[in-house]
Amino acid sequence: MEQKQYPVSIDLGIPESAAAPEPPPSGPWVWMRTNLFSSPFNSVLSVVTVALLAAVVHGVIGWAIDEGRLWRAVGQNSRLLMVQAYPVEHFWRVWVSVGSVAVLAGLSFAYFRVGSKIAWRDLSRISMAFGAVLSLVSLSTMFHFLAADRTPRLTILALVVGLILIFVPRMYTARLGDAAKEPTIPTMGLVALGLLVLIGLIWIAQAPVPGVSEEGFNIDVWEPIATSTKLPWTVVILSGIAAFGIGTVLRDRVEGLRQVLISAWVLSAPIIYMILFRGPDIDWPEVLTLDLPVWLGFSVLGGLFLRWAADDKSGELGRFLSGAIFVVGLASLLFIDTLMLFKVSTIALGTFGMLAPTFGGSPAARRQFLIGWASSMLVIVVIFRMADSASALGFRGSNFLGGLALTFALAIFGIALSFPLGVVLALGRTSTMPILRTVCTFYIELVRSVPLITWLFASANLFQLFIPGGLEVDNVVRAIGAITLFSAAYLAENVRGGLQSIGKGQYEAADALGMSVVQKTSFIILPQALKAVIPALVGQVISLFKDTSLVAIIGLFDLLLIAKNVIPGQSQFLGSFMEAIVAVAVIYWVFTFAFSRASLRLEKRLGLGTR
Amino acid sequence: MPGDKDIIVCQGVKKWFGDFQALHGVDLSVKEQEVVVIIGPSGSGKSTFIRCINRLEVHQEGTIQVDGIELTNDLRNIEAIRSEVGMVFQSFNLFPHLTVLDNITLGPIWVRKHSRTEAEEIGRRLLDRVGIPEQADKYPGQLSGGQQQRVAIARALAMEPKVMLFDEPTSALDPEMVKEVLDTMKELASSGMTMLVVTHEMGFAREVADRVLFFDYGSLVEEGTPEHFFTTPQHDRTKLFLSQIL
Repeated sequence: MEQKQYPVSIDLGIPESAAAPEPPPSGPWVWMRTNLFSSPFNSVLSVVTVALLAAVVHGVIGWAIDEGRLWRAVGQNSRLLMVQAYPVEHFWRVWVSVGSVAVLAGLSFAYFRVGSKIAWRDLSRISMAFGAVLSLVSLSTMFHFLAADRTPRLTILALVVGLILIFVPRMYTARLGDAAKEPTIPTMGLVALGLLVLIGLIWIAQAPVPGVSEEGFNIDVWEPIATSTKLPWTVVILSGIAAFGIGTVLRDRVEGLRQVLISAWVLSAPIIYMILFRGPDIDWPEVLTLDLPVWLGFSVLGGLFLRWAADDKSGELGRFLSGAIFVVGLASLLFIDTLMLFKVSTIALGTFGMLAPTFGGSPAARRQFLIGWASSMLVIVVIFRMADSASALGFRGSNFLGGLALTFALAIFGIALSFPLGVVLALGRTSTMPILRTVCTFYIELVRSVPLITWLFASANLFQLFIPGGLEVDNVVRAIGAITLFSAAYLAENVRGGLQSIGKGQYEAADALGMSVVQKTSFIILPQALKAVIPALVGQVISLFKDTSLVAIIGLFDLLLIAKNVIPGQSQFLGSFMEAIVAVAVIYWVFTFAFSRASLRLEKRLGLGTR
Repeated sequence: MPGDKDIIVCQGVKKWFGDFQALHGVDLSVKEQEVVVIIGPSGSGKSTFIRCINRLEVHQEGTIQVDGIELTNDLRNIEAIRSEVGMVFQSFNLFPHLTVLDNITLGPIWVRKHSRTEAEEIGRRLLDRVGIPEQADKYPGQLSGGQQQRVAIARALAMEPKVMLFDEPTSALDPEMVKEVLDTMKELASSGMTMLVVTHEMGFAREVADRVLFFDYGSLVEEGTPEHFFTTPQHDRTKLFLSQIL
């Protein structure tokens, strides 16, 4: 393409000096004048708000460091808050679960290139903000200590650290000059550094524990925190970091890592559930004689069928046979007396067969599709084997696990299960098929019109009436089910909002290319619809995370219930409500804040393709 | 020059939107390699008509055949015809969440079932042809209107269509970008593509069209060569329309 040539200089009659560039006025004073003191009203507002804020923070700190506070009610009950009454000799189950999630997360973060780079200038700003907060808090603490005639020991250290955080990065940034604006520091490196510091802290830091002096007086003895957990935590964190490193090395060298990771995540859910709650007594001979042949048979023979069905030559016959297999599978649920495993696998084969022409296009796509089929079969077989095996634990795991572990189990399973269900419901509600649309609408409206607490109550007390006798479904599973079904309805409405934001032109463009409905939905419509509603989806995730505290009503000991009812009932902490509640609030805040920051990053990262 | 074989044959096509009749029985046949320009006042049914040809609108009476396949409710026929017929829209309708190259390769990969490498080769060749090879990895939102419309043309061409439909391709463009799109279309016409173009660009019609159709009130009022059309129009409504826009 040829470019138009314009005259290089145009005389507009502006004197040379007037056009000379001048840097705009800047600096802290200019900022304060334009933002805090721009008008008399604004100035008054600024001063009053800052004074109010300072008074509140000072008051809260005074309360927190008061000698009457029993913070050790939290420290000594940390095991209770984390896992409630889970038996100590079975703690390895918890650690194995946490560790495998850490390893998977490390690998996935590396593979999906989570995290970006940050500039020194931005890092120094963050550091300044942290330093300012830390200094102010330690100053306030110091005042309180001096007023109460106590020695401000740690506060001086904190103040020094705060001041270092304010000034050192700033000085370094100034020395770098313009280079400081270049984003060069990998954020995941910072995260790893933070985790290493955390490891160091749990090995070094000490906290006061009530003890007896040599003279027999009750005094505080300083002991290392996290005595029994510091080794496992170190192993977990280090293996997570190591997994990130391994993932970084592997991600460009190994093909199909994506499928492996996704199926590992999917598989990890039932496996972790079984490790924590059942410790299944697996019948290995049966695994070899039943599961392995079933998996191999369905993967290989089914794979051959799918490969044939994906081919253009099989055409309508492929779709017809897949549909027939699907119907036979459904019918077998009611009419044929055989293993459930066969029935479900047949239904899955039919479903995959119907999808085959859509996704089995090019050889590469077909290979991925077949790998997807084999791993789905693996998931099905593993889930059935685990559900079939008797529990080898001498206790009902779900009655003993509580606290933060339970909160997490409910939240993670709830989110992971309700998300796909919500998307399907939203697609159903917006579909043109009247029966499907009516059913989905009815479900969504019914679920949303009743409070979650009612659904939880129903799942705990009414559910048993509707299932055949003898079959017993775990309390935790029922709670997860109720949370999932409830949250899916809300997610569906959020996703529907996203679907409605997609213009008619997008559908028409996909139609004009000859794409099928499934292709259009999965490549064009859903990616845009979900991206449009990320804030709402994250809001739903956050509220689900907090709503898990409602399981207290069906006798599960979640984090909040322990803080509210259990700790204040212990003889040495009788009646001390606030400490544990505040600690729980901080825990909730840390995770929900992390969610919302992560969602902001996600939005930014996906925001490239917006109009 | 047009060939001998009819590639699009429409007979008595009628279309209603609710009670409003948009098409009053349109008969038209288009030969291979023919460039047909459709003009007419807004609301005359010209866009509706070409959108019927790839079934973005459903006609209620009459028959439409594309390359020997009749458009019925049979999904297989619809998908087959759509993959033979490329379409370029007034408002581009690029997929904003995909890069330019991904926009182009999506159809070849998933509908034509090419491998990714083949599809990307096709995509880059077409971007080269429409004159913007350097934009392959950008997102549509980062491109000017004219560039976006050229990507849309490349996206339609990537399906190797037998017919291209253009629905007012330059109406949403800033004046200085109209030319680059028209140039691309001229190049396409001279390469022997069968084209149906709804447009208000009379210069393009005069220069490129083999045949010009005039639509009004949902029917085909007059048709002829550009020469006949712009010098000796027969129908009063055609004369009135031309006098208003020329």
